[in-house]
Amino acid sequence: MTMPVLADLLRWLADTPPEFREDPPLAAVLGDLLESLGHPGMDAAVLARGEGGLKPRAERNRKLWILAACRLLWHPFFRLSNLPADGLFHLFAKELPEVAAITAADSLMTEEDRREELVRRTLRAVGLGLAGETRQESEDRFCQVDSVEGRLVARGAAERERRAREVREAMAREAARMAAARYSSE
Amino acid sequence: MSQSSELAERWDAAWPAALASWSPYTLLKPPVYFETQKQAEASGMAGQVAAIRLADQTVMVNLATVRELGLEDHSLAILAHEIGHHVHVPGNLADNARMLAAMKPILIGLPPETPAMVANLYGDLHLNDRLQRRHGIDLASVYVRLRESGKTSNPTETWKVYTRAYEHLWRLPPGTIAPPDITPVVNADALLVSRLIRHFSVRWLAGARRFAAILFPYLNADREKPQTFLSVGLGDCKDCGQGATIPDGLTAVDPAELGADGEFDAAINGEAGDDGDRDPQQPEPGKGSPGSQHRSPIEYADLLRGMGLVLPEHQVTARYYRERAKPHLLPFPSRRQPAATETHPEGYEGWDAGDDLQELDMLGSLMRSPVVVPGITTVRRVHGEVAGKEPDRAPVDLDIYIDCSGSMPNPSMQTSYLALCGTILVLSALRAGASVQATLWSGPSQFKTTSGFIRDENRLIDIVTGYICGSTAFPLHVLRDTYLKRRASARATHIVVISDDGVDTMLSNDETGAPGTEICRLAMERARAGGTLVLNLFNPESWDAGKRLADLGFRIHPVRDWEQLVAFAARFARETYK
Repeated sequence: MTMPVLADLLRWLADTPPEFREDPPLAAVLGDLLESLGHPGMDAAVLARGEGGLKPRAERNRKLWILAACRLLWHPFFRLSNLPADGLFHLFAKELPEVAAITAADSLMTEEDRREELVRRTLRAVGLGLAGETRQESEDRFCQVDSVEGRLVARGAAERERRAREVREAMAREAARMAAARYSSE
Repeated sequence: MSQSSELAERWDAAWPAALASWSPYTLLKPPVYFETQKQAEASGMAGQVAAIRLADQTVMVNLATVRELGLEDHSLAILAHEIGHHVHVPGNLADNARMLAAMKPILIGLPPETPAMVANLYGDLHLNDRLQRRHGIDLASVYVRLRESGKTSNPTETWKVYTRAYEHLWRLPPGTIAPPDITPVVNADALLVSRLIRHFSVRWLAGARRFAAILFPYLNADREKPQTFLSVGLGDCKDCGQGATIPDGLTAVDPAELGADGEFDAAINGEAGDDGDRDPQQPEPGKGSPGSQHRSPIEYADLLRGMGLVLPEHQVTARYYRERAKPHLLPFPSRRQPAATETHPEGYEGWDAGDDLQELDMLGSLMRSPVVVPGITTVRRVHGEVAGKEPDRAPVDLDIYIDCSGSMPNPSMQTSYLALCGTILVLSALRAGASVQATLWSGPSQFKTTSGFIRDENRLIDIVTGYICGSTAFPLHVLRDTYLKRRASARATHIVVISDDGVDTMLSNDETGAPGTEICRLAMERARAGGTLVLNLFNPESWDAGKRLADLGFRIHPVRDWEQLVAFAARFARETYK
């Protein structure tokens, strides 16, 4: 089976059955998926449990992201492909919890960029690329939709803005001091 | 200006390929070339390599600077870059203005021309990265050539970050484009710039604030030094708004100007909590509905100045209120007439020499006598009126009085909901075909009026959004004279007074000693379509004059904020239609 185009995968995600958002047993869904992908040995229960320590809402959000990825990987193309176990483990155990910590899974329903992020993140994790796209194009586009990168850039810029604000405040203080000095000398 | 030089021909030959680098469908007129610095000076291009004008989508190239810097062989890169300013960043005047608006609050305290230069730097980074990486056009060699020319040998701090960012974007070895003395801090900031450019390459407006924040300390450090970027001649968007008219849609704050999410604001305010504690299901802190936010008139005027649009203050204010009023125009009332009439010829009567020449019926006169003797043989047609079949509707005219005494807000400084309300009413009335008399008033003898019912939108909005700032005395003489002179057959008129509690001066005596109550009663009788007082009142319930004015037939609407204004508009439409 040939690699589907991006639009097909986005539509596949947009057509996610509502049951995927109604807290189905994650370990069972993951177990089924991993088995059909040819990795029955991977511990679905461990992946479903995560690292723990999250508040209930954050934990639910993590699960919803993993369920969305399960839906994507249930696409016939992926089920017929030989996906690497380490890539899948990295996706479920590392990448998705990281995204889930900053982005609500509900945005997968409302924002096409988030669906594209999930598709591209998944493809990167399992070492695949979209048909008709060079590696460089793929990297550039992922960078545009990567919410983790967006968060890091925003934090970096915010740090610089805090620095800039300090400089501005110092400038304002200096201007006030100069004005006061001029006033008192008059 | 000559296009015949060999270099101009070579650059012209590269133009189609430069256009095609963006899209095979891109259409722009060929560039204007300047052969000498003297020729270029007339268009403000002396010392520049190239530039754009957004008003007429022009690309200009100064071949003298191109020769001086040794850039003769970089026609494709430079032309494609200039085209990019027209088709991508900023693309048009409105988006350029939004970018400036996003950056300005971050760049407070720096020279006034700084936001325009930072916007230029930001746009150039986006365009150059896209051309170099996606279209394989060699922009890097332009910067290498600039470095070799020696013109960047004493670089500003801003130039260091800017050029090092390109090295990160294009994975070039350090020192290929950037000066050699790049500190670790500069390097880290340049890396952040490169990541920002990639991340916001499509939603570029959302990254503008962040970019300005990163550059701020460098721009501040460079205050006493001419910017390398400008002195090399790269400021190609410096006067891009020259000759343009005010674009629509700038009174509203675009969500993208604010960065499109609350993350940046939360982070700079130190509100961002630990990821584990934050509930990603909840809206981000401070995230309102920025689409509904508007600039103040003073911010709007500042924005236009930043775009290079130098206009009289009052024209800017009028434009501001007109734009804000447009989405809220009301279905202005009209009155059902008994029936429309049609004219019907009924015969002839004598035409005298002193009568209007237009009324003379030459054919009728010649039929009466072949010798025409004015006043003796001349006739005019007499027409009667017969009832038409269709009932007619006539709009109600508007007679509006705007208080601009010292207690009222100055509409050009802060958003005045009363001026906005007046603008909505005037534009609605004009749209319905009505005529409007507008009077701006303050103290005794301090008023401006159209002195009659007119349909000149500009003159009316000028009066409605004007400001006098004096004492408070309602112009009873204008109200009195308007309705004393008004013919009984004139259209019905709705009287609107926009004021605050100073409106009670309507009940004082006029200059002849006639009581205001009588003048108001006469005006309301002759106006025949009622009256409305739109008032900036803090406590309408305890306001004594309210009952007396209501007894005269005025409906009173307090309007102090946006919600009350919208509610008034709805009520006004409903009540006048009843």
